[in-house]
Amino acid sequence: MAEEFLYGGKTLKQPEGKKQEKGDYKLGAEQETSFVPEVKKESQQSKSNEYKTGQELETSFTPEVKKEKTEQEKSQLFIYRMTSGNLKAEEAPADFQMSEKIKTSSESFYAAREKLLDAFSREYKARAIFKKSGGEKGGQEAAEAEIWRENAEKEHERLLGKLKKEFLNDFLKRKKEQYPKLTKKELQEEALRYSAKFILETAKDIDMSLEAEKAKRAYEAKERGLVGSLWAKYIKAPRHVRWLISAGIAAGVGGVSALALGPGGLIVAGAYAGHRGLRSLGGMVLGGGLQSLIEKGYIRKKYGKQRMEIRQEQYEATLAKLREEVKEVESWLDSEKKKLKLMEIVDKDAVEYRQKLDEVARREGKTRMKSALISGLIGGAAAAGVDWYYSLKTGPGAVPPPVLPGKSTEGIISGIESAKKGDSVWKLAERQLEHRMGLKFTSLNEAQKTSVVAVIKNMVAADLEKFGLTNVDQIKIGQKIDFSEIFKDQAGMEDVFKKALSLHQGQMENIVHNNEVLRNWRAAHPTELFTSEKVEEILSGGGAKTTLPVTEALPGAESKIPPVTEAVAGETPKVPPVTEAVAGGTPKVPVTEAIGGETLFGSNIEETIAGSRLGFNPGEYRAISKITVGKLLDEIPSKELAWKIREGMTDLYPGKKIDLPFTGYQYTDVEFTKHVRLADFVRSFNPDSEMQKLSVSSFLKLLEKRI
Amino acid sequence: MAKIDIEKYLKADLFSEVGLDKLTAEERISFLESFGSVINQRLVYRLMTELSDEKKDKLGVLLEQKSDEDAALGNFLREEVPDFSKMADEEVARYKKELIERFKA
Repeated sequence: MAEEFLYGGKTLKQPEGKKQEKGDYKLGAEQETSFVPEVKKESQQSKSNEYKTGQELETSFTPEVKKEKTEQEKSQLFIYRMTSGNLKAEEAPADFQMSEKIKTSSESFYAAREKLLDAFSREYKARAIFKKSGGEKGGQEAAEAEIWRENAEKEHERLLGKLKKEFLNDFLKRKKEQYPKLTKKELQEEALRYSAKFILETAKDIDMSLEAEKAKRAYEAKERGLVGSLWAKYIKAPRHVRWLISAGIAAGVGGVSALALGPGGLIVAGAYAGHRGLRSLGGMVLGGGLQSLIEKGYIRKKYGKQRMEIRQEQYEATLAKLREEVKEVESWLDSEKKKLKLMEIVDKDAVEYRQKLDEVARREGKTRMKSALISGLIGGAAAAGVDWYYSLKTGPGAVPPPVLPGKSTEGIISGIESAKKGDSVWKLAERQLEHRMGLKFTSLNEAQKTSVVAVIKNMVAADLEKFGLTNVDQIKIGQKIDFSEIFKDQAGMEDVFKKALSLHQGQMENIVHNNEVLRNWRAAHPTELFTSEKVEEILSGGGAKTTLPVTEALPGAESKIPPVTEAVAGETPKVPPVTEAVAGGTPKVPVTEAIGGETLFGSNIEETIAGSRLGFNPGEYRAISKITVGKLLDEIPSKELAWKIREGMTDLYPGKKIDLPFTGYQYTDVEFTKHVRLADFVRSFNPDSEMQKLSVSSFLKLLEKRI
Repeated sequence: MAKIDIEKYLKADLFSEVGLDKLTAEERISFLESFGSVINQRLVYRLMTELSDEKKDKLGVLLEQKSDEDAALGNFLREEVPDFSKMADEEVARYKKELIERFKA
């Protein structure tokens, strides 16, 4: 299709001779490096087998082997593309002439490129010598070579920038000649578009080619084999997966949470993307329930009357679709298929939503930042799609098998973790879970991970001697813990994961909330000891009572590094910051947003009473809100008795344990205190037998008229 | 390696920073392909620079014997290249920085 430029409703046809050839846009990966011929063969094969989207079908290429262009031909073609505007040109015409300025600039640039390639080669060889000698020989040469390479890189970029300026000047000059009526603003817009195309073309023609040439010059035969295999792994991944990974990295989506390296060593970039959090993004998206799924899946709050209306409409429509899809709310988290389906719904609607917003922006004369396609790509579902791809590809759970003696995984996954500076049993357990369980663990959300790590840590705490410890909060640098025994019980581990996955939303919110409280406490008390007891104290509403030296692990010294809290350090907070302390309770998480007249507590009156007055967070309240008033009062006959029952200090109820729903992985004193407070509050209204049949939620709603 | 603000560039959104929003969907996809390939090649190059001969041999065996096990390479990177995450962050940040500066040049 010939390129056209739209200005104020007018269509300006592209000048003669600039028509683009019918055919596909040449995709980067098609310009594969030539250093390992086997790779090409494998990549072609993989393409024929892979799932193709509509876009892929349009852009898929034929398996014929194309003649490799020389470096000179490549540079000639690049310059021709940039000066002619025909970015799809496959060859530069034989009679192609460039302006003198461009010619001079391009000669300088390509000379700098040669120097850069030499510098890379020199550095690579110098480093190899340095490494082979065990760091004894060639250090000076390696250091010098690095400086040479850095300088060469700077010069390369400087001259590429200079060349770009020449291209741009030439382009604008021609534009003005062809369309003399173009305004300054229109020309500026054209200049921006041209610059964007320059980035596209340089990534495709200059950078890829530089990398290939670099590799060609540096690698020895053995390395070429390795690199070829790694490249084959990359190319074998379906295109949509590669796009998702690239989109995530390009858009900085992976930077949303710093997480441990994922297990998917499918491709190097894929492993990196997992590390940067794309996979956990999927977990995050799913962790907060359907509303959260929509919020995080790109249908976010917007400002401006029209946008807010569009958002509200879309929100309700999407929520209705999700509810229809889910039906049984509790079970959807267990089904990968169901989750994927939900993500697809959100992504599809997110694209529609974007289009509607685009239309508003267009009417307002504003340029939208991203197209629907790209919005879709980097939206929640798509980003999580990488996760699902890896997950589904390797079967349910995608779990690398646990280490068993004599099995092939022996030697690849070690059960032993060594403590480094700043480590704790918690951190070691977390690391072991990442190594051993892979995606099964790393794809969990924060709350689920916390619950799994807590179990492992508790197993260590229950048998300290077996693990070579005397205190679960103390570990020395270099000390090793062998977790193999724990993971031998595969059924037990499955159970642990099952429980983590079945945490309901309220429980998860509570865990995340507790983590946040602990994180904040640590930030506020950096020099205080942080032990299991301290954690309990903080979560019970106590504060800093003991002030002891920091317990970072030091060689030969006992470490008193945090247990539970370390699990949260470094995670991106996923709940609003703690803002207000509630008397006698833990800090309260402010309720975020009212959705369709409802709040996270269910209704305004419930939020007022349970949240503001009694100190519940939304998760805690939702956990208790469904039981009947009668059950609450039975379990908590009075404040004093309730505590005695809980602590086994009364003979009035032999063997009885308080049986009320709680959040998190244990029934903490903090939450119990709130239950007692709620029971006291309810009891103060002397509810009759009929009212005792009501759920707590219905009871509080009834109070609306009375308060 | 010259110091750059790694986090800043990791979080940078190239779609807005280098005007990719002005390109067609097809062009953006083309960019994503190239971008991913360059990142991948740079990571592999860096890996080759950092790995000892012994570890390269180990990687070779792993790729040959466990070519279909996706987790194997991830495990190798974690165990044998403890700084892989840092390396990868640096390479991604460096390339994004180059593209942003090139756009502004």
